[in-house]
Amino acid sequence: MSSERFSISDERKAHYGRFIRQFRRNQKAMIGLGIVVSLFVIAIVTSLFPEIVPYDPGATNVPNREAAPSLSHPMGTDELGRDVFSRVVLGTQISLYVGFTSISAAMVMGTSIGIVAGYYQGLTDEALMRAMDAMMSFPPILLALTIVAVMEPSLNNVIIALALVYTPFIARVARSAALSVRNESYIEAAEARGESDLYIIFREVLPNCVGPLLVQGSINIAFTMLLEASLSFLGLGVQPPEPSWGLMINSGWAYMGDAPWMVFFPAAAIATAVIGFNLLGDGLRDVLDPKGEIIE
Amino acid sequence: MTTNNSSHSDGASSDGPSRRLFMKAAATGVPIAFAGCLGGDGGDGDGNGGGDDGSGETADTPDSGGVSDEENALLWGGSVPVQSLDPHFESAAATARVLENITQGLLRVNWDYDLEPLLAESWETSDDNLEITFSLREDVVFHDGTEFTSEDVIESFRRIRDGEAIAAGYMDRVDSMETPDDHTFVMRLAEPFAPMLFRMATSDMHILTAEQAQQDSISEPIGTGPFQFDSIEIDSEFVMTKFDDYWDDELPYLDKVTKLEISDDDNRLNTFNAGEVDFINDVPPRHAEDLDADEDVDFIRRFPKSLTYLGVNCNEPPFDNRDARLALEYAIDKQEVMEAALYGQGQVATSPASPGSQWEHPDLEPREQDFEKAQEHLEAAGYPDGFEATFQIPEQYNDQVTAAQVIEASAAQVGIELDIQQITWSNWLSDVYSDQNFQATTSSYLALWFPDAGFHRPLHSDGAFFFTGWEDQEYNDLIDEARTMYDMENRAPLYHEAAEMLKERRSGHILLYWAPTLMARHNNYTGEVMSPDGSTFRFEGTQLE
Repeated sequence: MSSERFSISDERKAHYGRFIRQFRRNQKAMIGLGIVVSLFVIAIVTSLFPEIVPYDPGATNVPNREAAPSLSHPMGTDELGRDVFSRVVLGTQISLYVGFTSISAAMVMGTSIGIVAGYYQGLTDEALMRAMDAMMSFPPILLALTIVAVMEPSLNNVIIALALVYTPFIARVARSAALSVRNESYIEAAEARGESDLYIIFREVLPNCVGPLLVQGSINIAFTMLLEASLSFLGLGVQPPEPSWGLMINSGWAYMGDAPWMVFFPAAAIATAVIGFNLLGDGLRDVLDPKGEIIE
Repeated sequence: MTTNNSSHSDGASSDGPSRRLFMKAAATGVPIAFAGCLGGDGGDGDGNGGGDDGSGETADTPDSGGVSDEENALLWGGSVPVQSLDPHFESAAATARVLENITQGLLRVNWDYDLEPLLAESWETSDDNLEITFSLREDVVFHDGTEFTSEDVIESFRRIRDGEAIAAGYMDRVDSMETPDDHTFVMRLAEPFAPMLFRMATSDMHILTAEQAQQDSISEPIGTGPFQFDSIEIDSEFVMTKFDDYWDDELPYLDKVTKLEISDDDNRLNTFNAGEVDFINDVPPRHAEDLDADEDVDFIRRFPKSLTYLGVNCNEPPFDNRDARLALEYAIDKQEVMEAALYGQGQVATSPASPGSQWEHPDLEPREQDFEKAQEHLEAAGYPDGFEATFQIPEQYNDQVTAAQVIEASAAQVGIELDIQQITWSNWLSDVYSDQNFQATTSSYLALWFPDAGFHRPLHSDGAFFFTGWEDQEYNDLIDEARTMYDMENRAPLYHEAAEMLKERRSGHILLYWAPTLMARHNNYTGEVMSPDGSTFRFEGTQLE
């Protein structure tokens, strides 16, 4: 028994090694990873040492409003004289926080629903997946807006809304992965051994669905960040004076003609983050996708 | 800044039923009619005559084109579209702004915020202050050619009373009305009530023909004003033309005023800068300085358009405590708030009395920012380390969203954490105003050109817009007494005292700033455009050189 486990473990090691080699060779994935890691470093460093940014992001300085980028304010100042650079940098925290917590919640819910549906099939499958279809029939922005409007606009409610909106997307992927795994011989073997459903789902089905879920998650995280910005832009997301990128664009767009930097820099930040996660997701898919490359 | 007044209700108000009407109107799904400054008490805004009428007999006017193809006309780029034209039922400020030129009242406000004769040549009050006798002008004809008589007055007022129009609450105070002859009108009140005369100066109580006063809804008002209604295309344009038989032979100078509805601030300004319109209202404050400096542009600023305030709920902790309210007020630099929100175009408010009016306290100063005093009051209130409160801001008013962030930053410095929540205007009306489910908020009042509008409506416990829960019997008595006095000289000192009370006892309205109406026109036009109320327009004196 123990020797058998060892051999599986060696197999896994070899597999991971292969995965890492392929990943490294994939340019898209590496660029994406580079961007994502940098964003994380920024978010972590600024949350540990908030005083590292040159200005207090909430400190208003009305006489120096709408100042163009300069040495003292590399990205200029906004309509209240706040430093755009400090706010864009600190906005990374909010974007990543919202992106990660909401997609994690969506992953937990979506994966559970999808795998249960894919494993049991039949009526359970129909019931769960038709419910997911119903949710997906609304455009994400509309569904999120409705949820946030029913509750009230705040950071946590945005996260809840985004998690609910992206659950069906994850559930679909999880279900199709579970379906394909369902008929594998090792599942049959586990069933023959008389393992419980829970054991099979967690120990056999789930690990074999991780690949596609990772891809879906990393691409969807970009969408959740974008949607958070959209909600904030519409005034229903993060509330002022928090330096959310979407909110900064919201308050800055009226000044496009006079102070384009108020919109340009947060927009560039959103674009960078979205591109980073998309590249990472695409790269992951390239590496993981070729059939048979499912982690065993 | 985008429009911060995408529409207001206009100003006038009544008591009692008005609050109900106001909410009814808000609930019928026309928040647009009230959006913004909580100026009017509602009435039903559900679109009397709001349809696409106006395409009737007058539709054959030539297209209003540009400035160039009209000889003596004004092309106005307007900020808030006119939706309907019933003077007695439409509470939107946009309607009052054009009606001021078409229909007229017995009296009107002048630049001293005093009342001057209009359709009434003079009026007298009896010794007991209960009977008001109006002597009407004899040379007035309506736009349809009928002669103006006391019959028109009584029928118009009956329409307001029987139809439960916006000013119906005022008509409830009338015991009887009589028309001893064609040019005398007598109104008998149940008790002395000075605001009645001021209300008569608003379009809520303008005079229509006796015939039109029989109609339930009016889409093409027939008035006695210097301009007559010509045509309207909702959300597109509104046209009024010179009335040749206007009783003042000299007026108006212009043949035609065309209002193009351009709601977007930047778009309106660009249209003006491109020379496609002659005149715009609601100039975005941040462009005011540029326009002011432009020699080809006549930049016009008129107070008082609206009064923006920080409202706190005095029924609940922490703001049920006067010291907590004072701590918040001492934390704020009102000048900075005004600078941020209005780019210095407004003025810091000390009392709800119109700036420059007789009833404005001559010496009262706003509280200056003082963090030490804020701290002292925090300790006195039992919050030595500060406190937290939600801060609900109507999102569509950019000046208020901006102001709120400055206030939040200042308050944080003394430990008062204000949690900003941007909410929709309809949520503001239901949660904050109606249910009083709030801790701190901002909003604004429009058309505070007569004392009752500022001192009674929002601050008296029976006021139409009372919602902050600050109740003070002494204050109420003072305001009630002032309402019975017709003579402003005797009346004004009561308001001075009331203003001191509001400041000293720290009412639930921490006043922030007065915002002016900012306008620009090309400098080949001269003469006044605005009515002294600071919100409606009077084009009768406008001339093209």
